[in-house]
Amino acid sequence: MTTQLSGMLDHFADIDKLDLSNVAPLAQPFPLKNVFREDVVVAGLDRDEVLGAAPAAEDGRFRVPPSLGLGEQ
Amino acid sequence: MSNASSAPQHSTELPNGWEMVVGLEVHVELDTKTKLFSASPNRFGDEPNTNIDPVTLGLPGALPVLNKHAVELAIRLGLALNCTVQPSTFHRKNYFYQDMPKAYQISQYDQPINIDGFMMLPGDVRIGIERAHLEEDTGKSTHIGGTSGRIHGSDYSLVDFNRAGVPLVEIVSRPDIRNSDQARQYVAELRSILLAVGASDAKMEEGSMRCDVNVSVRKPGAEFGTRCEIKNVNSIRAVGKAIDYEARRQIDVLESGGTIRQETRHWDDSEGRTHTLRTKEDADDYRYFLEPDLVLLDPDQEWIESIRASLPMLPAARRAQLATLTGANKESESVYVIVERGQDDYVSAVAQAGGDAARALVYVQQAFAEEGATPKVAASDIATLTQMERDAKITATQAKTILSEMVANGGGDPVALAAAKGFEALDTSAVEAMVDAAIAQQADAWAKYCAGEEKAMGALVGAIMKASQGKADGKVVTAILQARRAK
Amino acid sequence: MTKPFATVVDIAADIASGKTSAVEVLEQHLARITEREGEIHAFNLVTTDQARATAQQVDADIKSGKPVGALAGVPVALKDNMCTRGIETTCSSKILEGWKPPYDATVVTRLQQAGAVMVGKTNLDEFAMGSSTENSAFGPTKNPLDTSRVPGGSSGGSAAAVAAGFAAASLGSDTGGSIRQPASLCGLVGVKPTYGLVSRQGIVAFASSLDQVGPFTHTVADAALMMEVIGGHDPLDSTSLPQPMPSLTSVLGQGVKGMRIGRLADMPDGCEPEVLARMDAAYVALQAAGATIVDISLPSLSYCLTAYYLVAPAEASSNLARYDGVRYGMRVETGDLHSMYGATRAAGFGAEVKRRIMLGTYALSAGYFDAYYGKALKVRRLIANDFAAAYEKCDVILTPTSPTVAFPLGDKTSDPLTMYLCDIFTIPTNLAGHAAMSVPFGTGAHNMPVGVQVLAPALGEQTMFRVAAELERAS
Repeated sequence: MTTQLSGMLDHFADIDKLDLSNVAPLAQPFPLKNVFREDVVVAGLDRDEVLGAAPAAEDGRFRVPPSLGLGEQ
Repeated sequence: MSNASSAPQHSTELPNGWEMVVGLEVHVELDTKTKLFSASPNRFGDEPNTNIDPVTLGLPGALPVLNKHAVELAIRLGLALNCTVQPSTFHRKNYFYQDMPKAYQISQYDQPINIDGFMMLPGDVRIGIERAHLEEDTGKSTHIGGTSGRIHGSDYSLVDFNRAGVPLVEIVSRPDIRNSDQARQYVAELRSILLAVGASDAKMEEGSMRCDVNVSVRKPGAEFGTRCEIKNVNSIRAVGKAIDYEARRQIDVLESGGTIRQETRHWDDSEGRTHTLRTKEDADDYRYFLEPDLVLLDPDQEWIESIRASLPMLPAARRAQLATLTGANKESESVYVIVERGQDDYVSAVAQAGGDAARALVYVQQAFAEEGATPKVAASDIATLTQMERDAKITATQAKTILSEMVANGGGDPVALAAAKGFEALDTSAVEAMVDAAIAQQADAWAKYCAGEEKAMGALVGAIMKASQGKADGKVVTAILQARRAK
Repeated sequence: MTKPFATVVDIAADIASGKTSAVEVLEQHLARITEREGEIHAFNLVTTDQARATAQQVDADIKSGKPVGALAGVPVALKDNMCTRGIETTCSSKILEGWKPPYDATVVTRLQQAGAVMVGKTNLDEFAMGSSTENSAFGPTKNPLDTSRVPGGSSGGSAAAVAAGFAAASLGSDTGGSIRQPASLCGLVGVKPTYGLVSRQGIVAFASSLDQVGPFTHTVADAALMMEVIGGHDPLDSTSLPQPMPSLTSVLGQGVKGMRIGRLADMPDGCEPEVLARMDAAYVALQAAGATIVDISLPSLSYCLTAYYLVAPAEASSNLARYDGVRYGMRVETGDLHSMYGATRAAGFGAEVKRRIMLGTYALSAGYFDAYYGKALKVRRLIANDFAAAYEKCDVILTPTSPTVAFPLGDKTSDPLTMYLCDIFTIPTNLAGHAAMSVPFGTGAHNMPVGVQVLAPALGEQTMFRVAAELERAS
């Protein structure tokens, strides 16, 4: 896997030849703006259906093994 | 008042000429009906995982759509903090954690909606506000097992996603704060502003306002020192305590030859200290990139100006107005308290009804703590009461009694109440006669008072009040005694 | 060229007129599935019972005079990366094996409202990453025209389902060519719409700024009808275009007189000679129908592969981070959260997915962002500019869809870069966000089909379909 990845990265070095100093990045194809939603409640998902599909659940919540060291952000 | 060993001092003086440099990051939950990017309810206290939808849970294929009202509240908040509102973009902040349903948080990065604002604190202190940007909240984890319900040593965790996706604004101050009093004032004022513009209910105890504190120390004029971020600061009081503790901790380290490690620390309120949560080396690379599922947010000037025009008078302006009306200092506690309670309009109404504004301020501060922004007692009746005291028809003490009764009964005619109680203030000549009588009867006390023992006045005043059955105004009595002594 | 299977247009008309019933049509398709699905493996799941129930409902509605939709009774198949409520949606990955979405994708809802009969969820390269459907965790799909060969990818199952007559039409998704290339390899019409014309809500994301959904059909008219059903603004997708869906079925007969057809002046290497021969024939046919050929140049074309293989994996690395074993899908239980993430994803993802996640994470990481992802976005701007300049001189551009006909299974699996080159003609359109479609145009080596790709500028679907219809008439 590592050889394949580094091989790819070598190939991708072709773009280093380009002079991109005056080129603005294009992250999305079209300049859409101001797409909104009104602040109105719409019925969501049923908790039982969702937790039924969860790998582990308890007490109405998703259950996960403990996180070591790193805590909440 | 406090022990030297573990509890910090609350003095704003740091030892050896050190200065603290503090910045605050405050997250506020916006008071919208629905979440930032989906239409599930934004409600505190519901049963776990009952306000969920595909976007909230990060289900495959779910896409975010921006809540217009959240944008409006963010703009309201930004304008109230004197920010520039600019076109903005959303970015993905990528990291793994159990309460991050998509394993990225949609936030704002290099182009946030509000920038370059400020807030004024008492003493004309200006705290810069770098930015106030929109982002979504995470879910909430409960750690089960272990000793303290905290994450270390727990057996497993349970996750509730009701809060995931709730709209947040993160308000980042510049590091302009120089002591813990300013920090507490900043948070309190921020809260007042948020309530005034209706952006958030800003309840720290419910988590709708959360503070992270950045603290470093330096000798004045030197470069900023290495800072530490402190989390888990859950009340305004804790903001002050955490800052004072952390500044002293850093000073201790530096003065014993150590260096400050840039890290995130956890404030333990019960122990009154901070400890390491994670160091900079542990920090994630968030790999920020533009959120491809959302588009540019570019509110037009018309919208922004209509929001600006709809803003109510902000607390600072209300305090200034109340101060002008009553003659009180705009930074005085009574002015702060009245505006905080939203009772300045009421005081204004009393003044408009012909009442004495300065006295009204005092009355309302003393007796209206539970009355809310729309007291039941008629402003005109309070106006009358202030006039009665001003015109010396009743004493200050009598006025206070009538006031309490009016508040307790939700109203009342002060004139009738005074009459019913037989309240009247004796006129000055009558009081003078009583003073003369007291001087004669309490010769010892009078002699001591004339010799300079201020405490001796108490016995004289007490005797006069008793003899007058409370109808002598205490201030008048004191003034006459002082005048007599001076002769 | 007559098609061996009934078209969407004919099926819909015959059912609506009472000439046949939805149940009868469905049973014909189910019979073909029974006969050949074992050797082709187009499906992850055949939804026989639900299909029969829907077909019966269509027939009952028609009988009772209720109005029915434009696709009433038409058997369709859906790529298994489209959320179907209560029906397994796996993306051909172990990490989602058994997962049933609690909601439908918008395109699924629109097909249902049009009365279409879903026969099953089709196989794909895992998470849509691939060009041959050999990256599926559940085994490859075979090309129905020659089962020793690939059907293309990543929407290989959807292509095979239509090519084998299992469904009259299917939906695929296209991020770098994943509809057009399989269409070309299987002799079908395949459309990648203008970015934002078809809703992505409920489509499992691969690369959010590149993904689009589109149809596989036997005919251009069928594709036009399918597009009209699934296309148009969706308020649940913020990148959905606000403009109305253009009418496509009404323009198909308008011909190409006076149109300018762009031809790439500097073609990349690697095209099979038969493919090039079919391209020449295509130009001749369009000229005969009154179009003129204009030489155009896309100088950034050769850099598109690099740009794509940085942008797409970067977005994918973020889009696939949610598969962490916490809320749905596979979980490998361990003693702590972070090792659970690692173990789950190691066991749940295949090699190509892992490769692209690693590549994408690297391209976005601190210190490398500007060199990789940042630069790739600039190359993207260059190709968009190149297209803009080209479309000043022409109305559409024609290229081969694929440099080769369908290749044998296993031919390109040892070196990912070789596989990536399959998409050299299709990738630029995704980067620019424009429209493109593949139209079958004769055969090449080994008697396997060759597809001609018609590219059009953003929202140029009407022009594109007119050219496609003309090519179809001439093919």
